[in-house]
Amino acid sequence: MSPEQWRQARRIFEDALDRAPGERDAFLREACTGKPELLEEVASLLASHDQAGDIFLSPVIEAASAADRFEGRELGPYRVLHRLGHGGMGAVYLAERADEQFRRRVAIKLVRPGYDDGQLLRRFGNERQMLAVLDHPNIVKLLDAGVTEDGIPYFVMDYVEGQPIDEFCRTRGLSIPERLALFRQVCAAVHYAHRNLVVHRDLKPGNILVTPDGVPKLLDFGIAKLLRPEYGAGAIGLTRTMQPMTPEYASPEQMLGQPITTSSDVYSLGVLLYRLVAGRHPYEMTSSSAAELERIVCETNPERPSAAAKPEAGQKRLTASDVDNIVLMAMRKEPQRRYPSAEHLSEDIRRYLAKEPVAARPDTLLYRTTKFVSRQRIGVAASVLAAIALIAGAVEVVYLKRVAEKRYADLRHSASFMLFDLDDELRKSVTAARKLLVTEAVAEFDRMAQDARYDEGLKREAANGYHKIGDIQGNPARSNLGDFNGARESYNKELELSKSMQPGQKTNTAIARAHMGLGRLDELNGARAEALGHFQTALHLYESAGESIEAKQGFRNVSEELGELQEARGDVRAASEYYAKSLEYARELDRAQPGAKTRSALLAESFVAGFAMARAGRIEESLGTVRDALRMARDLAAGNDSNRRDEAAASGLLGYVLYRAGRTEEAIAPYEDAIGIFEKLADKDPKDQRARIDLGQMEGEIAEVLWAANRKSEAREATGKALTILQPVADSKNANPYVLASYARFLLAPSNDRREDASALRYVQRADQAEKPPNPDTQEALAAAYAATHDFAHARETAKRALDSLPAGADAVLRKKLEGWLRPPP
Amino acid sequence: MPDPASDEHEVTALLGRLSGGNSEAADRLAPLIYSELHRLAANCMRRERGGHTLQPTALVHEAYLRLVGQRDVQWKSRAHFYSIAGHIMRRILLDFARKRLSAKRGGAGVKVTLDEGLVVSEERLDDILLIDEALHRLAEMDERQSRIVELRFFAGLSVEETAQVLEISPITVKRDWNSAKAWLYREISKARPDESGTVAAG
Repeated sequence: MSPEQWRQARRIFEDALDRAPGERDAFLREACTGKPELLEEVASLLASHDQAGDIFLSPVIEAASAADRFEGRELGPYRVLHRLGHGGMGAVYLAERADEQFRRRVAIKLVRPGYDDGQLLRRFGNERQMLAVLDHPNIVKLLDAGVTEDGIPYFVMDYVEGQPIDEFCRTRGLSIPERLALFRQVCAAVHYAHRNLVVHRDLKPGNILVTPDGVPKLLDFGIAKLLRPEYGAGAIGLTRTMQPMTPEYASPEQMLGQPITTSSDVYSLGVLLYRLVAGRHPYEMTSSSAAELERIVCETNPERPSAAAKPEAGQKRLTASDVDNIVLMAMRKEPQRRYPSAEHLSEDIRRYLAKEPVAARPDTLLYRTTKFVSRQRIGVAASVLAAIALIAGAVEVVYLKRVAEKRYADLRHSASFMLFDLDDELRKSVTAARKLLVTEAVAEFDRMAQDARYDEGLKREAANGYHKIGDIQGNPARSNLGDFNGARESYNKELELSKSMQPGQKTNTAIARAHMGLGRLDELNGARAEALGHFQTALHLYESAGESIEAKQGFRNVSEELGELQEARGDVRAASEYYAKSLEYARELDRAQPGAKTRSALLAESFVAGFAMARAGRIEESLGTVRDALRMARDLAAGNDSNRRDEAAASGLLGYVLYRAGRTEEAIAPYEDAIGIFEKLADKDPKDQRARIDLGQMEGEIAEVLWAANRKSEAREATGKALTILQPVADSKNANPYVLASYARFLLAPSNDRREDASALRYVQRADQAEKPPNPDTQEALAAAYAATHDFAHARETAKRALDSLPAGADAVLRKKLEGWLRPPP
Repeated sequence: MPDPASDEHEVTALLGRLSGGNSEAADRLAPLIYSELHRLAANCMRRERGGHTLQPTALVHEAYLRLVGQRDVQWKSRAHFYSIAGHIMRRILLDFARKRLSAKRGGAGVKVTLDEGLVVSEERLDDILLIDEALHRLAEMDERQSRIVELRFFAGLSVEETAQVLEISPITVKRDWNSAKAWLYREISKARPDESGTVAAG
């Protein structure tokens, strides 16, 4: 490059650097108009600048110096004694407070001179601010902060005398349960920080000291930031912010420079737990190449801790157990599939220690029964934190956008109010805080919508914001705050705003999305007709919204919602049509992007569609779909034993479809296959509740088939097994209505020798009461139970009610059964 | 061990002549500064024992204090001193990195001791050769940028100190530094075998 060319490139680069990251792209394009080579050069410089970070070209020599300029000095009321150590940010000194009667020992952290890029100072500022709000027995307390005479920022913390947690466990020879108990204290501290909107981001043994009396203390929130996603992607998609972190403990999203939330800490806790129970690190990370480290963290799966364990001297070896599942669940690659909070992680460990069933399960694919379970998906405010993280994210997007547009300088105030000034409220009560957050966010979007009257871009942003807030308040399809009225209001505002946007495909997508939100709320309230209206409107809009990913994804989602809605009303014909559409989409996606994810989605879609098709009498189509699913599930299971669950589910479903088709003899073998696999799964892990429920369900179903095939003694045996397995499930307080109805049906089966008709009625009544509006399948079981207890009047009444509301496209077999209960008793 | 006091007058005098326009004085100053840097380094290490590291700028600052002291020297002399020290540090480190490269290498991540007192991590030593080479090319495009990197990277001067030495504004130093750093990072990344650069581990 000639000096002249360099001068030109560097000037644009330096000017670009003076601008906010969000503005750089536009600036670059303008400054390099007609000069693609120059554009590429400057973009690549910006990328290098972001990657280089603080470390590159920091002073090469770290000279050991006895003439330490801080020792012996006085900083405020503290006298510096000697240096304790140093880290990426600076040095830590032991100091004492000289002006008090008792000599309080403190640690003082000084930002290392020379690292004077604004970035570090800003980070230091954050650290001060954050530590000041945290007040927890397991978090090192910030006592004071200041700036030295020569302008070096410092802060004063409690002095902790202790060992890094891994070293502590080793030297004390702690047993696994002792380690787990200690670890739970760390979780509690992290959870407390999360509730205060503080993410640590660099949890590792060196930052968790344990005092001689066994109290863990979390140190060094140096790189923690308030929940604030990173916007690393800048010029022409080339740049990526290199976050300060420790690769051994960094989550995949951290390695990739993606937004960091509380879930990243949950991941790091998982790695730490792995280390504590297995005595070694989950990954071999000897490479110094960032690309290689990234690949290891993002793409490889760690061995189960029990298999990898290197027991320390005198230590009992970790045996394969729920601990494996707990560690690996915390370490899942996708943040949304980890424990929703550090508290959930801690709670699961508590359950393990108390010998109760844990929530963590080995990683498996979706399968048919998840569908039934998902019927119960009424929004439980499972994770307030995840919601707050989302709000913070939503506001940040708006914030950056508005700063970029400069006209909205006032937002800085409200955005920082959102993130900083809430700490007091949060400490008092999480409920109050989250309400405040949501109220603030809504007020913010209201203001924005006002400003957006003549600005399409802002309208879109505000509509997005309302949708996010609506989801947080009460999207029943995921964890939410349970504020369904608030959600409805937000979705309505989204709808109104979207409708005022210029007509076009993007606008159609936006309007459709608002309808989806409203439809889900109506469905939740049992207002099926209204829900149907919203979903159908959304479907039409998505159909005319073009080929964008968002439109296609929306089309798929709404097809599935409509399928579920119709299935719940009993219209299996309509349901199977909608499912066929979403199945088509899943097939397309599987072809376009082959991989485990698209394959498991296709598998799940096949189960749902195959089942509905069979009930709608579309037997041949159903058989094709289910046989395809079985083939796929077998292929997947060949590579991984834990995927056999899907194979079993597919096999059982094939048995069901064949039986429905009147091919009774043929149906038996696939059912037997399914039972064989579920038996193995249930044996392998006695706490695997799902495998047991599936096994019970299959035994009950095969009993009916065997009875029809006139193999009566085998049918009796299968029914006996089904009832034994399902009884404890049906007797548990929060039993799923689907399981309750199944159990009642098996009790009433002719192959049940015991004929416990009265108790069958009780179970099915419980199922019916839990279903609002009523489910026609359960109603049929209810009629059967009444009839069995000779209460024919109720049987008729129940059947009549069900038939009256039964849609034309209902399951013909179900209709026939219901009609049977109308006839007078024999 | 030579007594720094005996060099003091000479260094002060030489710096004064340098400021007066006598360029020969620089050649006579260099070995004095060089030996002082070495002596200081060794001395620090003995007192420090464990080999902890800190204070990136201390060495050159301290050499200056010892050789020139607080006596009333023109600020220009001070600038000359640091400027020469920057060159020298670059040379010392480069020599060392070359020697080290031919010698058997230690394990990854170890800190190696240079002349008993200067501590530098092994990975960075490899980078020094690459940076030195790239710096020559940068000098051909922009001499001042190359000087800034020398002062900040090799001598550990802050932005303000660098600005004083080169008699330019701190803002100019920052702009020069930013683009030089980005350019160097890219050049070094290209030259590294794994091309992705070392991770900025906190």
